Formats: sequence, structure tokens, C-alpha cells
Amino acid sequence: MMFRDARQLSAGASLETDLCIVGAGAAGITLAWSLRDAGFRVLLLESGGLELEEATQDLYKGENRGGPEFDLDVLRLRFFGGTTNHWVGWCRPFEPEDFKPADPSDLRTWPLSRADLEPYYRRAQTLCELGPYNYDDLSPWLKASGLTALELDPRKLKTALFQVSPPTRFGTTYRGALEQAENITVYLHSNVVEVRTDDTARRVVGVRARSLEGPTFEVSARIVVLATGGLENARVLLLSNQVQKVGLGNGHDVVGRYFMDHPWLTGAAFAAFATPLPDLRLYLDETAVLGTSIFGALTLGGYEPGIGGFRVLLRPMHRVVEGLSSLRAIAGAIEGFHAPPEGFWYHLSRVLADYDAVIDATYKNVFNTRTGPFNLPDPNSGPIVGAYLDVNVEQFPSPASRVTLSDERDALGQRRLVLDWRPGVAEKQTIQRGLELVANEFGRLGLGRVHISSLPDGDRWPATLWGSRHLMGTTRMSDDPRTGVVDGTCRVHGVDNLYVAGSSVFPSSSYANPTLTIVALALRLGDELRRQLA
Amino acid sequence: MSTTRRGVLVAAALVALPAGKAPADDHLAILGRRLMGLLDGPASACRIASAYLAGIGGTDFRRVAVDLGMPAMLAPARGIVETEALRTWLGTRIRTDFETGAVVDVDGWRLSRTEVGACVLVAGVI
Repeated sequence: MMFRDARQLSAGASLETDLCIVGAGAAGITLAWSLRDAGFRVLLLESGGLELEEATQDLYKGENRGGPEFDLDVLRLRFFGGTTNHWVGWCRPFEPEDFKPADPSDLRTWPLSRADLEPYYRRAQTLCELGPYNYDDLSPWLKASGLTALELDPRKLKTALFQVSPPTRFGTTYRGALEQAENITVYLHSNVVEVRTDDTARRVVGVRARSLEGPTFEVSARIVVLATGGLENARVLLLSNQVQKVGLGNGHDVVGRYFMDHPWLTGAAFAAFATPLPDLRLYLDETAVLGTSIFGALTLGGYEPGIGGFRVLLRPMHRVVEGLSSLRAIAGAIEGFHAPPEGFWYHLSRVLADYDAVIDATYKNVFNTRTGPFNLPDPNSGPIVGAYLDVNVEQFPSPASRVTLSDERDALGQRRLVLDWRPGVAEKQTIQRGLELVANEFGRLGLGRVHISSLPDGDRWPATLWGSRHLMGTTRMSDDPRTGVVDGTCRVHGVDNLYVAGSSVFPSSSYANPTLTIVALALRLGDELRRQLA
Repeated sequence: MSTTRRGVLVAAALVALPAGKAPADDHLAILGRRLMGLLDGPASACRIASAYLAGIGGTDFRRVAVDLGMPAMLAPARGIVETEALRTWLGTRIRTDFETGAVVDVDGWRLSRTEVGACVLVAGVI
């Protein structure tokens, strides 16, 4: 089947299919691809075209009220392939304890286990064009690469291996397979403005869609799957309120709540290495081996109550220039409208002490040149003397962290999104504890000493806090409709034939990047839908 | 008692001092001097000690060393005569501190209790 353009449909056109998938990102394309020989009709609707278009991308604009700055129309891409068109490719499955925390009443509990998802992770590994499916036994990787892993105390820390996808651009890589599939039709420039139901809102009859410059048309389907992304899935449900006024599937006010990202603190700590330095290449850079690229991060080894998952990445420093790090601290503090924890005078004295190095680096940055006025050596050359520790943590689910609808409307007349991200005390505790564990292990192993920057009290965060752009949890999975939007099969509670795919269904965020899990869940959903529609 | 016999008894008493018959203050000083001998330069130890004291609001190096439990912690080291053996013993002790979480915060740096105590001892004898 060719790709079709909804702008060429006549007004009021009516399409019919068995399965309607809304959204052609990692989840939607994976789901469609997995059903290309299923024997029933699949219609895949994509808002954008094959390339980025400004008018379509503008539909993603929204308001940011919480956390650090999120440009909602920059971190997401709205064309065929979705946000895989700019992801960096880091992959790792979620840990078993991410699915089943020690406390069964923990909100992070999934209605399925890691073992349930394992066969789909293996298949997802291939779709993301990665190497052998082995993330737990480091030996073959170390043997093949010549790298060394730290001898960490497994009760405290372990090395988490990440594999790096090329990265797979799902739109480009799987377009051919979808075009050749006789049972799949792709409609570009199709913006779903409403999921339509019967009068009870217990059964979906189809979707209503519009093109920006074209007609409104209807799609009737036996089953509808929303795969529009971690934020947009919730938005579509909230906007589909013709029958259920609070939004479809939102009888318990859960849709949009429990938004999670991975709080990411760059330069949260600094490690001054002892000499001689052991081989840390596994942790300092990506290494090509066994058909993929890998790197290692430091993560929690054993369970600690109240502490979530984290990963600590080492960013090497080849030359210690205290003045430069202080200059960054001052700049970051000014940007965040607060004083650095150590006080301005402390940092200013360090800047003055390293006056020539600071001026040199500033000159090179401003004039985009490799040679500065003092002709100092390139700071990225020479032996590694230390490393910044960048830490990325799991966010505990909180109903206050959420997306809602604003009063502003987009070009389709749809209310835009408001994002209110609330990283909190639990995440700070995880960051602090993670860095303490790393500092202790570095000391025990004789690697060196670690300086941990203090975190502000209360709700304030340092200016170096980022969101990782891993958008999760807004239509979370739970057996209980009071705490979840979808059940363990990703079916919306209370709606017989509506499903959701993507990271919005995650009840926990882990510390691992979400894409491999998104693809695995989509493959699992594909098997479920085969059973339903067979 | 003859002068010679008295002299022998006094000399024997002096030799017996390192075995634990001297007052605790002298033991701290002895330990501090021995630790100072392990350092390339005692100035950095003094900076660490000063930073630690500033952080806890302390002023007396010797008192802080006692508060850190240094006499008991370093007691096993009194029997180590060779410098390199003492260095090795200290390194093992410091690594054990990190393993057991016996660490202190000094100006944001996470240091072993023993190494901070050693720096405080050195600062106390300079």
C-alpha cells in the first residue's frame, strides 16, 4: 500500500478499518510493522508528513509551569517517525525491580513482570538495530572489547551496560516494510481531534481527524490504539470529551497525572582521580564492539528503602581548571536567580586565581577558535585527572506532576497542553544517596576522592537540572482503575476497544532510557491485538 | 642505688614509653609526627584539617582528633615500625572506612574518617 495524504480526501470522507493506530512514532510504527501479515486491515494515521513541517510542529506548542524549562514543541517531533527522528539511541531494558518494587503497594508496581516482557525485549533489540541481547553478563563484552569493569561491591553499586542504537530512525527504516504490507494503509497529515464513542463511552466507534489545510474526515474501526507519545496520548483522551465530559477513560481523574521524566543533574559531583588511574574507558566513552556501541554507567546495586534508581555517568576532565568550573557555577547561579551554595566570593576567588585559563577559554568560545590569547594547551588533551559526575534518576510517580489542558487553542481549535513537572524530595534523596555510594566506592577502590555539590533545600533545584525528555506516565498502567488509565494489556479501563501504546503507560520510570521498553510493549500489544482481531 | 644503676632504670623506663605507659597526649604527638613523615608536604593536610574544623566549629586540633576517635583508631599502628608498612596499614584502614561508611564531609569532599583524623593529628603537631 502506498502512503496516502489526507489533504487529498474530500470533506466528510469516511474510512473504515479493523485497527486504527493513531501516531507513527516508535510505538505506532512498531505496532503496525508487527501486524503487517496479520490478515486484518490496519490504518496508521500520522499528524505530520515525511519531513518536519513548521505548521504541524506548531501543534505541539504548549505551556510549561513546573520544573526546568521544557519547550514542548522542541523536545517532540511531529512527523513520520516521531521523536525517533532525533533520539540519541541509548538502550537498556528496565530492571526487574522496576516492574515489581519490594513493597507490593508501591505505586510503581506494574501489572506485568520483567519476565513477561523479556521475549518482547529480545525482539525490540533487533528493531532498534542493537547487538546481542545481553545486558547483565559483562564478560563477553569486556573480552571482545578489551575494556575493564570496576570491581564494585554489588550490594552498593553495579555497572549498568547501555547499548547504543545507530540510532534507528523508525520512519526511514521501516517505511519500506509498511509500504509493501498489503493490509496496512498510512495516512499522512491526519490529526486526530477526537476519539468517538457510543453514547455510553464504553465502546469506541472510531476517530475524527482533520488536516491543517484540508478536510475533516471520519475513520470507523473495531479497535483504536493511541500511540501519539508520552504527553499527547493524555491530551487526546482529555480532548475526547463529547460523551465523558472529564475526558475519555478519565472517570477517576488519572489521565494526565503521574507525569515522570528523569531528572538529570549535570556536574552534580566531581571526582579527583588518584594515580595511576585504572582503565575507565567503559565509563568515559562509547566503544564499538560486537556490532553495536556500549558504555557503562554506575547504578544502584542493592535495594534501599526510599531510594529510586539512578545512573551516574563520568564525563572526563583532562586538566583541572578550578576557575572554569567556578565560572560555570557563577553563570549557572545567575541564570537560576540564586547564589551558588558556596557563595559568590568563593567562586570569584577561584576565577581570579585561574585568570589566564578562564580568559583563554572564554576567548576561544567567543571567537570560535582553537587558539587563545595565552596559547594554553587544549583542555581536552592530556591525561585524565578527574571526571564530572552527571546523575540521572528515576522519578517516583506523583499525581501532582501532570499535564492538563490550557485555554489556548492550536490551529485545529484544540486546547493546548500545560505541563507541570514536579521533581521532588524523593528524587533529591536518590541523587544524594547515589553520589554518596559512588564516592564511597571510589574511595574503597583507591580511585580518588569525590566532591558532592550541595542541593538547595525544599522545592528548589540547581540551575544545572535538566529534564531528560523522557516523557512517561500520563496514562499509566494499573490493575486498579483508581490508580491507572490502562490495564495490563494496555486497554483503557472502562472502554472495551481502546488501547494506548507508548511511554505514557509506564507506571514507573526506572533510570533506563524508555525507547527499548516502548518498542517491547508495542510488540506485546501487537500479539494481544492479533488475538482480539483474529 | 649507684648512678649507673639509676641510669639503666631510667633508660629502661624511657624505652618502655612507646608500649603504652606514657600519657595520651604524647601518644597523639608521636602518631602525628609519624604520619607527617608519610606526607609529601604537610601543608595540604593542614588545609584539610582546617577545613574540617571550620565545618564543625572546632578550634582545638588535639581535641578534635580525640573526638574523631583517633587514639583508638590508630592504636594498632603503634606497633608498626617501618614507614612503608605504616603507609600500607593506613591505606587499608582508609579503604575500610569507605567500605563501612566511616566517612566525613569536608567542604563537600567525602573523605575517610581516618584520613581526616590523620590530617588533624598532623596539623596538631606542626
